[in-house]
Order: sequence, then C-alpha cells, then structure tokens
Amino acid sequence: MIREDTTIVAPATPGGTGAISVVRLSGPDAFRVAGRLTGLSPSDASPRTLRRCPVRNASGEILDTALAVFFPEPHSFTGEDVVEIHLHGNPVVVETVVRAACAAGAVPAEPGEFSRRAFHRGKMDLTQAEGLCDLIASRTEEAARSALRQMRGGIREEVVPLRERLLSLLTLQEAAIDFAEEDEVPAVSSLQLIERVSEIIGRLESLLRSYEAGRRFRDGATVVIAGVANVGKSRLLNRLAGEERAIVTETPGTTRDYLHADVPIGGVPVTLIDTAGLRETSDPVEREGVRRSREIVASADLVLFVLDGSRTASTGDRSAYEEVASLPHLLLLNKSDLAVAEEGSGFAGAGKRGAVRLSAKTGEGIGDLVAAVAREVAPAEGAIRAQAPLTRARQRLAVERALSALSRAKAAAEEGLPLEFPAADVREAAGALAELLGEVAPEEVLDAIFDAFCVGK
Amino acid sequence: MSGSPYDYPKEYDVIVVGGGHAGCEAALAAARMGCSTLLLTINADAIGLMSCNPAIGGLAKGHLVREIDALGGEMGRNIDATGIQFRQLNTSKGPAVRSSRAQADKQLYRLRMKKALEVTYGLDVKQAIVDAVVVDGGAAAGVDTNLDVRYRGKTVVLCPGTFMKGLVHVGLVSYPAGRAGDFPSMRLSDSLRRLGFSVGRLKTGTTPRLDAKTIDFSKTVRQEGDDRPVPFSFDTAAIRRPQLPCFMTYTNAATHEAIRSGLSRSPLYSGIIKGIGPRYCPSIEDKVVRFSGKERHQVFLEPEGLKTAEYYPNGVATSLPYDIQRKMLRTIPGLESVEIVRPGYAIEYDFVDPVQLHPSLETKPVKNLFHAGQINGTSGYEEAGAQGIVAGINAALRVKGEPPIVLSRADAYIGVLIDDLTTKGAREPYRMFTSRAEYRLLLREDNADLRLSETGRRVGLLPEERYHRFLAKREGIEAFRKRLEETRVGAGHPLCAAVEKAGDSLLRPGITYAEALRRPGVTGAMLLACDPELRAATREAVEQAELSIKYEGYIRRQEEEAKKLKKYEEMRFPPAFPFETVPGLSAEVRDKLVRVRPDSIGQAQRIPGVTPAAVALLLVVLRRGV
Repeated sequence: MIREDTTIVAPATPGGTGAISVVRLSGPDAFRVAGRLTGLSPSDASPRTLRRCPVRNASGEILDTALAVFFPEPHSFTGEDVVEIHLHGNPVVVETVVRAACAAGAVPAEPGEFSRRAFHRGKMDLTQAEGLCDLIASRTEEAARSALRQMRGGIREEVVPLRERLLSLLTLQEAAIDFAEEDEVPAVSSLQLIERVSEIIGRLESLLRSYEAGRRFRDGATVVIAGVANVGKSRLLNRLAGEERAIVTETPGTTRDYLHADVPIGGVPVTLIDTAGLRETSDPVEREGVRRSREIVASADLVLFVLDGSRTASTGDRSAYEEVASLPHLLLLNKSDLAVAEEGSGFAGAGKRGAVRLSAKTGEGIGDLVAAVAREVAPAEGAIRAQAPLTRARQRLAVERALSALSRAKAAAEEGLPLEFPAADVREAAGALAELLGEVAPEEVLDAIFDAFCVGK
Repeated sequence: MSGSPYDYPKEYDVIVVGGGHAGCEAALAAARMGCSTLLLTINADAIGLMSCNPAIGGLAKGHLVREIDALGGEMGRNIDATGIQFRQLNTSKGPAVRSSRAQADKQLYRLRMKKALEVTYGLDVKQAIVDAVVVDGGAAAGVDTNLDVRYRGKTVVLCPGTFMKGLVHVGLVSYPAGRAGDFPSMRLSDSLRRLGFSVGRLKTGTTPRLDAKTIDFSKTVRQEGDDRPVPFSFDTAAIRRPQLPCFMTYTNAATHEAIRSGLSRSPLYSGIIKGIGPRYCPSIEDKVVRFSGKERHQVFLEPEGLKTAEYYPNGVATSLPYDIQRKMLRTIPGLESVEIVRPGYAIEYDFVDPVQLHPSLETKPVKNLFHAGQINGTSGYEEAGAQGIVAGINAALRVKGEPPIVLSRADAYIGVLIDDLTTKGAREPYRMFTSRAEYRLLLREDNADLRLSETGRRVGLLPEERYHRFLAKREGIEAFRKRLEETRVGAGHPLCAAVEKAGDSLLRPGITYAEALRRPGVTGAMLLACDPELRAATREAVEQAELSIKYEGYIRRQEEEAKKLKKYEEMRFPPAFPFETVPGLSAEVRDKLVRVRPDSIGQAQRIPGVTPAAVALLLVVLRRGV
C-alpha cells in the first residue's frame, strides 16, 4: 500500500510519564501542520535547530510550551519533511497534540510507518527494512532483539566491509584487464587472489551459519510431545503451556487429534504439539490420529519422548521409541511423584542423552526440562551475539550465491584460468552482496580504478 | 540569418552533419540502405581525419570496431586497408577481453574513407557550415548553412565532433577552431539550445606531433606489431601492407620539473578551461600533478604514416605553453633535440546531454533528429563510429517507416555504450571499457559477427555474399562442436598420454572430446594435434567450439543474467508515463526520473540514485496504473 502523499503523526517516545515526549510528523505537509500547531515556519530559522514555541490547538488554546525542530527532506529520518515537537512528558499532552495535528491535516501513523517510509526513500537498506518487519512481528524478546540488531544495520555492518573488499579486489582485476597497456597498473597474482578470496569466504560462511539462528528466532521451533498412551503427554503440555489446553483423563487414547500451545523457550517461539499416543488401535478415529501424529513427529525440530517413570518400559514403549530414535529428541521420565521404578529400567537408549525426570502433575523437574529444551532449540549464544543473524531465505540465497561465486573464483585461480574468469566470479559475488543489501553497484568499479591509479593515454 | 535562404532544389532522406568517424558511418549506412543522403562537412579535406591518435581499436574499442563491421559498417575494412601495425592486446587475460589495435597511416585512412563515401550511390558530399537545424511541427526538416542555403531532409543526423563552439587552448593563448587548423561551428549549438536541448561543455586534448628526423630512436625501446596481423573486418582475408614499429620511452624527474615550471601558464590549472576533461585520458600535466609520487610515465612514439615524418608521442597530451612543451619534451630520452611540427593543445566544445536521446539515438525534444559521437559526450573514433552507424540505420529506418534497431547491453558493446549515455548522461568524455559490460563473456571480438550479422542483414547492410559466408561459418562451428560432443577418446589415445603427464586422472578413455576439453590444461590445439581428422575444421570453428565448451558454465550463467535483464527491459512505461506524480518518490529520485524519462523498468533501475525501493514503487504504479 502506498500512501506516502499523506503526512503522518505519532509519538516517537514510549508512552507513560517522562521528562519529555516527542511527537513526530513526516510527509509533504509536515511543515504546514507543524506551523499550524507552533506558529513556526521552516524559514524562521535554520534546519535541524531546536526552537522554543507554544503548541496550540485549532481554537488557539495553548496545550504546552515545547521545542520544535524542522528537518527538510531529504536529510531526515524518513527522507521526507519531518518535524519533531518535544513536549513535556505527559501522556495527556501527547494525546491532545497528536489529535491537534490530525485536526490540522495529519493522519495517525501505522506501526512502523516512519521506518517504512525511510526505506522507500532509500534511508535504510533492504536488510534493515526486513529487520524492521521482523521486529514488528517478533513473538519473543530475543527475536525482537535480533530483529532490532538487523534493523539498526547489523547485517549491513557485516556485509558492507566485505563488499568493499570484493570491490577493491575487482578494481585490481579490472585495472589489470582494462589498463593492461599502462605501466602504472599492478598485476594481480593468483596467490594474492586466492588469499583474499579465502578470507572473505570464511567471513561469509560464518554469516551463513547465523541463518539457522536467525531463522529460529523468526520462525520458531516445533517441539512435539510423543509417547504411548497414558504416559501423561497432555498433562505435560498443560504444564508447559501453563494452562488447561488438553483434556486430561485417565482413559488411554483421549487425545485423538493433536493440540498445540505457543511457548517462548530460550527466546525461541516454540510451538508445542501434543500427539495422540503412538499405538496400534482398531478405532478408526484414533487410528487417523496416530497416523497424523507420526507425520508431525517426523517433521519436528525436537521430540519429547515421554515414558511413565513409575513403571517398567513396555514393548509398546520400545516400538514407539523406535519411531523417534533417529530424530532429535529428549527422553522424559514422567510421574516422578509416584513410586519410582528403576531409572529408565531396561530401556534401550535411555542413557544416551540422559533422561529428564519430572512430574507433570506436581511440576517437579519442569525447570530442568525447559532448560534442556532451550539447549536443543535455541541457537548457541555466540551465534547470535556477534552479529545480526540472517533471517530470511532471500538473504541466505544471496550469501550462498556470493559464496559459490567465490569458490569458483578460487578454483579458477588455482586452475590457472585467464584473469577475466575469476574477475567475473568476483563481480558476481559483489553483485550478490549488493543484492543482499538491496543495492546495485555498476560504476563503482571504474570510479575506484580512476581514483587509485594513474591510467590512460 | 538574413532574408529567406536559398532552398536547395533537392530533398534528401537523410542529412548527416559532420564528416568524422560518426558522420561517415551514419552517411554510409543510410545511403547503403537506399536513402538519398547528404553529408555536410566543414572541410572536405578532413573527412575521416584522425584528429588525435593515429590508431583504431584498443581494449574494448576493438570490440566496437568488430561490431560496426558485423553490422555492415566501414571502419574495420578501412583500418585493415590502411593499417601499418597490428597488435592483439590482452591475449593472456581471457578470450573476451582480448582486443585488436592497429596504427593507421593517417592520410591513407582518411582518403580511403572519403573514397568510400564518394563511390556510394545516392550519397552527396558537400562542404558547408551548418548553423541551424530546421524544425517543422516538432520534427527535423533540414538544416540551414552559413551561406544562407537551406537543405531539406526528412531526417537529420548531427555528428559535429568538437566543432560546436570549439575553443583551442595552448598555454594562455586560445582561439576558436573546430580542431587546430579548422573553422569552428559557432551557431549550431545555439540553435539546439533554442530547440530545448541542454547544452554543456567538455574538454579534450591531444599531443604535440614530432619530426622523426630529430628523434634519436636508438635511445628508445622498439616495439614491433604482431608477426601475423589479424584483420578487424570479417571481409578482410589478410593484411598485406608493410608494417612499421613503434618506440617506447619514459618521462623523468627533469620532465616533471619542466612541466611544473609551466603550470602557472596552464589553461587547465589557471582556471581558463571550464569544460570537464576525461579522467582516463589525462594530459601529462594532469598526471604529474595528480600522481606526484610517480617517477616516470610511459610514452609511445607512434608513426603517423608511411609517407610522413610526423610522430605521435602517445602519453604526453598537453595544453602547456609552447615553450614549456618544447622544454618538457627535450628532457625525454630520444627527444633531446626534438622539433615540434604541431603543438599539443586542449579543446573545449559544446555537447548535448545524451539523456535527451532515445536508445535509437533519436532526440526526445525533436523528432527525426539523431545525435552521434562527441555531441553525446563520448570520446574516441570507435565510440563515434558505433553511434554513427546506429544513428544512420535508424534515420533510414524512420524514412522507411520501420521501427528502429535497439541493441541491448547483452547484445553488444554498442548497446552498453548507448544505454550508458542515454541512462546516465555524460559528466566527462565517455570512453568504452570492457568492465562497463556486465555480460562481458558473451560480448567477444571473435563472436561479433555471430551476434550482429542477422541485424546487419535485416536492415539491408550486409551483402548476400557476406551473409552466406557468415551462415557457413556458423554451421561449421555447430558441426565441429557436435563432433566434439559425440566423439569419444579411445583407449591409448595420445591425448590421454599427453594429459597424464599433467597428472589428470579424470581424463580417461571413454569420455568425449568435449568432456576432455573441459579439463584444465586441455586445449583445442591439443585435440587437433592428437586427432588429424579434426584438422579439416576452420580456425574459427575450432576457436568458437573450444570457447563455448571450455567456459560453458561461465557463459551459461551470464546468459541467465542476460535473460533477467530482458525481462525488465520488456516492462515498458507508456510514452506519457507521469513520473512527476508517482506517489512516495523522493524529490531527488523524481527529478532523476523526470530528467531521463526511462523507457523501461530496466532502464529506470540503472539510473544512478534511483533506489531499488523507488523501482519497487514504479513497478506497483506501472501494474495498477496511476
């Protein structure tokens, strides 16, 4: 939707009482609207300078005494004409001023609209804009943090220097091709090329690894609770979700369809799914439930396989376990509140990862379970703190394209192909990174050549 | 202009103004396409004159010459007939960046070009100074000359080179001239300004010319041409003219000192010259000032012809005062006693912003008017010739009521050139480089005919005989390639033994020749050496098949990129698309779009400063309408 011909208004500081609150206007009419409120016009003083003024509503009533600052386009946050009015920090004042601005022709901004306009005006790059979208949609705090890092230019900070290094390499390559006649232009050796390309490959690979982390925060993880009937799966879901989501009964096979709950675990939005007990049955409805359970289990990011810890594992447990053994899973020994059987007694595989003992009924051991799940689904600390992770398939594809082009450049240099081939690869890689940022870079190469070398006849 | 002009009693289809490298190609193309054509030149002795370097081709420029030739132009044949030293440049750097260059006998070159015009049926050559373009109902209708003669024409092609308000500078002395020794055209650019064109000022320069008998060549390094000169034209069987060497020497600290001593009287550094010069073709004073840490600069001494003693010292273009030119040159080894025949000079001239052109080179403000060459802000004979032939073809197609030819960036360097000009404008004289071509691997000198012969034939510039030769060549390449794909390397094949030495275990009996050729180190020449039956194929067939197999992956990727380009080129804006009122664009982006008025989304994307976000908005508006 395009409505950039409108002028928008919104508070730019968080709600609540503080020392000051800022109301921001952006759009073609921002100066006129601000003029109606403050009596100031941009010609009254230099741009980007704070000016003291009363703020009035349409009937001339003074709402507050404020400071106002005008940012003429394109040198503003959105790239449009922007006015910021710094009010005393009172929510009621802010509200009346926003209303007065609307009465003077502005419309209330939608969430993220200032930033979206900034993107359209080229004030932020594509990854920043994508970070903004993720920020608005983020479901957990960690997801929001990661989106914010991206919106503030985290990917850009990582990628722009890499792209510059590629361009300076390309500058050398192209200079050696286009100015071969000039004694001023240095040649690029294969060794030099391989060394420089390898370094950039390393950086891009680490960026690519961050994709899994970024994706987790954005798209979340699916954790499926599985096990034979009546081991307490539904109660576990309820316990984790903190509410009565599943009907809990003593009758085996009560859960015929699957139920789910959204729970943030380790900063990752986790969708917990309770499944019908994995067992052979003659009831057609339950059989359908079991079939769907199997599908869900197979596509899970993590399976919580629940055993009744109060009894010895049965043949049914063992055959159900076979279905999850090859998937990422945790073994849970439920009903720790009841008489304790020998730990995972005689259960194949119980010792591999160590089983989590818990009681879904009393809540005992639930903290351990949450920590164990977090370890499995949340990305390692290091993968996310260092940089803004890639969060989108588009971003990943662009990085992959750059990587494969650079691998080709390396191979071409190693095989001794003529200079123009690795140059074509490096150009493609630089193009892929430009694409990642949503930019394009044609003339830059030549400009760099002219600035760096004394060339020409 | 006084009273009513003499109305010349013959209406032409195409009037070409200017007899330089653009004008000659334009006039020849139009006349050969059957249009009655008039070429007007200020000096009929200077038709096809090489005002600067006596050479054709060079990196990326050689590509342009081949493309002109493939379309049916004259430049390739002309240099083949008059060249005195041929060289292949960049041979080790890859098949697509390899370029041809040749020194010309300057006088022979111009005389042969003039003759080519004179023997062309339907083409009149006249000497005149054109003062104005005659416009009738928004369309060009002819030209007026300074002698009050009005030539009427259905189309007009302007190729005035550096002649519009040309101003020559040597030191602090300046005088109006189209080129040293020729009249300028003082009124034409005013006429264009009145018609709504945006006229700017550029600068270029040339070197002094030196007397050979005062040069001590023993102090220089001799540089021979190639043993077996490769012709430019697909028509030329072999180069027969005797070949001359060039000579290389260097400037030194004393040269630079002499140059610095004259900077206060340099028109460039004293602020007299306002026009912008080319960064890649700097004067020697510019090089010394900008790269003061450099101890020496290379100078090539190039002969200007077989029957002249004049030498062109490539690398020392200058507009320093005459005494400084002499002093500076005499510090260079070999030039200690040199006598200057003609001094070097700078020239400022008017040009027209090329964003005012359609990709057909027809102007946007005036219908049936075409611009080609330096008027569009370019530099170089090859760039001029390339625009000339396109303008000539499209003027002729207009007369015939047919749509123009537009070459894309993936078709030809000519396409890159014209797209760059019409999309980005020219802030300095524009010269072609291979790095300007993003589909460089597809645009090789060796396949220019494969890329463009069909176009040349379609517009009627390729004679049948030439076209059939092209078809036979294409078939030969395909047949040879097929053969390589189908023939398998037998056990004990000498090729295996040859490659085994290099330690390539993947090359084993049973694979095809084509697969073998993809291995590093295996060349077409090796295949030919190992299998006598392959030797029946022509040199071109072997070369093309080898390239297309060996670099298949690279070529395929660029072809895919070229397809993407095509997609965006085909998203066309309607003629009166209201760029002024597209909502959401910043004033800056809007101004750029309004200035260029791109024909397609593809072109809009390439305008510097038009952000991808803006392009996204344009796409939305284009789809749903404003």
